[in-house]
Amino acid sequence: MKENISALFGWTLSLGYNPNSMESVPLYRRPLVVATTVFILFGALYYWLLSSAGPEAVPYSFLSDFILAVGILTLLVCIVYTFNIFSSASSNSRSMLRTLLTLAILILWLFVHVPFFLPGSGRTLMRAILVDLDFMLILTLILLAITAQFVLPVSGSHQRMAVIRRLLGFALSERGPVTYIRDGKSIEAHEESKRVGLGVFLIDHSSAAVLRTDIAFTRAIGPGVTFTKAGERRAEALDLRKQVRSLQGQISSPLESETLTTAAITKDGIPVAVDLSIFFMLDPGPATSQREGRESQSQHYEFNRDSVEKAVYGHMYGEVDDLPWTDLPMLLAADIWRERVKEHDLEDLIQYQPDRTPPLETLQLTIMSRLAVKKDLSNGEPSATSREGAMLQSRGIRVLDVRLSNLRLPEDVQRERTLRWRENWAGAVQEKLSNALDEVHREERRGEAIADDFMVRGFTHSLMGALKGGRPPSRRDTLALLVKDAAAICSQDDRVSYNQELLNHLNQMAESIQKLDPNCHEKGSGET
Amino acid sequence: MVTSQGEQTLTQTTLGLIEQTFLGRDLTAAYVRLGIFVVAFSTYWILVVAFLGFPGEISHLLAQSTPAFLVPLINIAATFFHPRVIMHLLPVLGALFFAFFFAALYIADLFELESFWTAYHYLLGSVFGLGFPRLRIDQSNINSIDPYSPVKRIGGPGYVRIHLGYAAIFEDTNGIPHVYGRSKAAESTETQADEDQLRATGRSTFFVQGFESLKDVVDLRDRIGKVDEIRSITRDGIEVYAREAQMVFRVFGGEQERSLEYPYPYTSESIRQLVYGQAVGERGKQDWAIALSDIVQNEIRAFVARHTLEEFLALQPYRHVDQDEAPQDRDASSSRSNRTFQIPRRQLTEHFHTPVLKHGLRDKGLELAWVGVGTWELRDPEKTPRGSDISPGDTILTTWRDSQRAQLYRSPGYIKRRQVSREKEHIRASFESWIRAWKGSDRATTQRCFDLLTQIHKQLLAMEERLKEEHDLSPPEDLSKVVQHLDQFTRPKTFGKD
Repeated sequence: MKENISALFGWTLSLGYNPNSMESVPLYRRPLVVATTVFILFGALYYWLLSSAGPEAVPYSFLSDFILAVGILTLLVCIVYTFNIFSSASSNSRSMLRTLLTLAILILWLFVHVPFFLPGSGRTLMRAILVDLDFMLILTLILLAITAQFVLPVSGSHQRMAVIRRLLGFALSERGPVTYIRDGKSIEAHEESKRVGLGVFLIDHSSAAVLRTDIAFTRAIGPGVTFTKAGERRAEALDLRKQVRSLQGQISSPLESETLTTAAITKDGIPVAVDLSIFFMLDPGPATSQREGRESQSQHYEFNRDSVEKAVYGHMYGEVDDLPWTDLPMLLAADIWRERVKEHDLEDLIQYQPDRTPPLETLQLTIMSRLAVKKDLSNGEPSATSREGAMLQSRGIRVLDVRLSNLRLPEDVQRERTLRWRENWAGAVQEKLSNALDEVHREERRGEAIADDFMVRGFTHSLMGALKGGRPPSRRDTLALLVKDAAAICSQDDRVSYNQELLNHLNQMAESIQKLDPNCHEKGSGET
Repeated sequence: MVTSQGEQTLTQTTLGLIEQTFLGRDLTAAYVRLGIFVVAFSTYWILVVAFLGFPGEISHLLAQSTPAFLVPLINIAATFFHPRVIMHLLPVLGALFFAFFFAALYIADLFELESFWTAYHYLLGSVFGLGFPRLRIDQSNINSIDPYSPVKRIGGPGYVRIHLGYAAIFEDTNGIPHVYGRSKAAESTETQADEDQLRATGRSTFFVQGFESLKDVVDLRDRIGKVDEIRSITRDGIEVYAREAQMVFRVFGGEQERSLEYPYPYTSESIRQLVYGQAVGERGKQDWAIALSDIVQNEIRAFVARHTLEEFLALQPYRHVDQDEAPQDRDASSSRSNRTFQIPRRQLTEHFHTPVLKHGLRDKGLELAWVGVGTWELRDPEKTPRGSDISPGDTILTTWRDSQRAQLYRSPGYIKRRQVSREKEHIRASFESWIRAWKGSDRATTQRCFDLLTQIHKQLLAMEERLKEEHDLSPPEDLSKVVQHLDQFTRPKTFGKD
C-alpha cells in the first residue's frame, strides 16, 4: 500500500511522464509544477474577473445549456473511456491508482452538474464556472485532436484517428508503450515495455521491430508509425543497416578464454589465430542489392518482414547469456575458420607462392562460400549450400563479406621463423665477415713475420759481427751489443710506434749494463 | 461509372489539398493554421461580446470629458476587455495550453526528452509556426550537437544553420535523404543530388520540414587521420609494425574546383555514400575517419604481405660485400642502422593512388589526398631477451654492422695498415719484454742479466721458427751462431761436471 501511495505521489509530481529522466530538471520546469501554476493563475484571474463581472456572468440561455449538455456528454465519454482503461490496467497497481484518480475527478465533475438540472436551482456563480469549465474541456479535446496530428508523422484518416485516440487516452492516464526506435535501439523509459495500454512505435528508416504479447509474437513492423493494440509490446528492435563484427586474433586455448576467439589448431597441431571481420545485414530480400547511398529517391535500407521475423524468433537463449542475431554470423565464421584450419599444415598457411592465391585469401573465400546464400537456378529462390548458410538463412541474415588478416602464430613458431629468416638474411654476411677476418689475421701474422725478420737482423747485427771476428763477447758485452742494436732499431720512427720512450729505456739499460763487470756482476761486489 | 470515379478522384484531391493546407508540416501550412486560429479566436471574441450585449459602455459623464474621436475607441476597448467578456476567453486559452501540455508530454515520453519544454517548443513551431526551433551544426560529432534542440531530438520543422566545412543529411518521413550544406550549383539538374545542391547553393540556413530528422553530419574539411600502429606480416612471416602512418583525405568533390568561396566541394552522392555505406559495429556506427584508417590499414597489411622483409629493406649489405663495393653514403647507411627500416615507400604510396583503390574510395564517398606510410620497425618478441641473436631487430643491426666490417676488412688499404701496425706493435712488444725482464723485478743484477738473455734467446728461437715458416723470408745464416752463443749464457750449469 505504501508503495502504491509513493507510486501515485511520484506520478502526481511528474504527471505520469518519465519520472526517472526528470531528476536533472529544476522544479519550476517540471510539467506538474507548470500545470499547477498555470491552473492557479487561470483560476485566480478567472475568480477576479468573475467577481468583477457580477452575478450575471453567464446568462441563462440555450447556448449555456447546450454547453453544459455537451460537457456532460463529453464527461460521460471520458468516464467510459477511463473505465475501459482501468479494466485493462488491472495488472499494474500504479496504473490502476492513476486511472482511479482520473476516474474519480471525472465522476466528481459530472456530479457537480446534477444540481443545475434540478428544479429551482439558482447557484448562478457555480453555474458560470461550470459552463466555462465544460467549454474548456470540449475545446481541450478538439485542440488535442488537432495537436495530435503533429505529435507523430501520421497520414491518412486511419492514422490520424489513431493518434487522436492515443493522445486522448494519454490525457486520461492511459499508458501504453510509447517507443521511438532509432538505429536499431529502442529509446524508452524504464519499464515502458511493461505498459499494457494502447501504444505507438515510431521507427526510423534504419530500424525495424517485432511485437509480441505475453503469449505470442504478433507482427514485424518497419519504419514509420505503428499503433499497437492493448497488451502488445516490443519483443525486439533490429537494425537494418550493414553490420560488421570483428575479432582480433589471440592465441589462447578455447578453455582459457570465456569469450569467442579465432584460436584454431592446424593439422600438425600448431595453435594459430587470425583477425576476422564479417559483414552482414538482415536479408533485404532476394531482388534487393545494397544501395549504400547511391540512390537519391529511395529509402536506403530495405525492410523485409520475413527476415525481421526470422531474426527475432531465431534469437537463441542460454542459461546465462543469449545470442542475438548479430552475434551468430561471427560465431559460425569462427567455427568454419577453425574447421578449415584443421585441414592445413602450418606450412600451408604461411607459405607464399607468387603464382598462388595467398592461403588466407583461399580460406576467406571458403568461409564466405559456406556462409553465403546463392540463388537456386531451378526456382530462382535463394538457397544455402551449407548447414551454416541454411542456419543464417533461417534467421534472415545475409552475409556480405568475410575478411581474414594478420595470421598470428605462437611465439615459439614465430621465433623459429625469425631464425630461418635470419639465416637467409644474415648468413652470407656472416660468412663474408669471417673470411675477411681470417684475411686480416693472416696479414697481421705476416706483419709479425716481417717485424721478426727486421728485428732478428737488426739487434743481432753487432753480436754477429763480433762472433764472426772470432772474439766471442762476454756476457755483459753480449747484452750491451744486443741492447744497443735494439736502441738503434727503436730510433727509426717508421718502424716502431711510440719509440722515444722505448729508446730511453733501452739506452738506460745499455748504460746500466756497461757499469757491470764482464760477467754481469756489480763492480766491487766480490762476486765471481 | 466514369463520372463516379472522376468525382471520387476529385474528392480525394480536394481532401488531400485540404489536408495538405491545414495539416501539412511545411512553413505555409503552419502559417495557415495560425491564421485560422487567430480568425477563429477573434470571431469567438466578437460573438462573446455580442452575446453578452456589448457590456461595459462608458458612462455619459466620462464620454463628455473625453475628446469626441476617442469615445468610440474607448467604448470598443471597454466592451472587448470587459471582465464578463475576458472571463469567457480564458477557457479558450486554457484549452490551448492544456492541449499543448498533454501533446508535449506525449512527445517527451515518445522521444524520452529530458525537458518537456523541448517538446512544447517543438509544438509551437510545428502547429503555428511560432518560434521555429533552430539547430546550429558546427561540428561533425552528432552527439555533441545541442542536445536540447527539438530539431535534433524530434526533427523538423525548424531551421538548420550549417557552418562552413560541414554538411548534414536529413531524412524525411518517407526515408528519403536530403543533403544540406553550403555548395556550388551543380551543372546538371537531372538528379535529386543536383537538386539538393541547387537548393544549397550559396546558402547556409535551411528550413527542414516536419519530422525531417537529422541522420548524420559530415566534416567536409581536409581531415588528417593517424594510425598509431599497424601490425603486419611479411611474405616470409616476419612481424613488422608501421607506426604513425598518416593520411589526408576529404569527402569526394567530383570535378569541382576548390576556391575561397567554395573551399569544400562535395557531391550529394558522396555524402549519402559516406553516411549510408558504412557498416555498424558492436559499439554503433564508426566515425568515417576511422573507417578510412581501417581501409588504409588493410591496404598496408595486404601490401606488406606481398613482400619479403628483404624487399622492404633499402640496404642489403651482402650485395656490397659480394660486389666489393664500398657503401655509397656512409651517413645514410648509418642512419638506417637502428631498428627502423625502409619500405618501398614510393611504391606503397602509389598503391593508394591506383584507379582501383581510388574508385573503391569514391564508392565510399571519399577522396584520399595523401598517405604517409610512417615509420616501420621490427619488434623483438617479448620473450626474446634483448640483444638475443635471433631477434629481428638485433639481426638487422648486427648484420648491417657485420656487412660494414666485412667490407672494411677486405679493403687492401686496411689490410696493409693492419699489417704495418702489427709489425710496429710486434717490435715494440718484443723490446718491451726486454725492458720488463730488466726492470720488472727486484732481483740481483746478475739474475736480471740472466733473465734478459733468456728472454732474448727465446725470442730468437721463436723468430727463427716463424721465419722458417714464411715462404719468402728466412732467418739470417749466422743466426744459429748467435743462438748458440746466447745458449751458453742461459744454459743451466751442471755442478760436478768439468
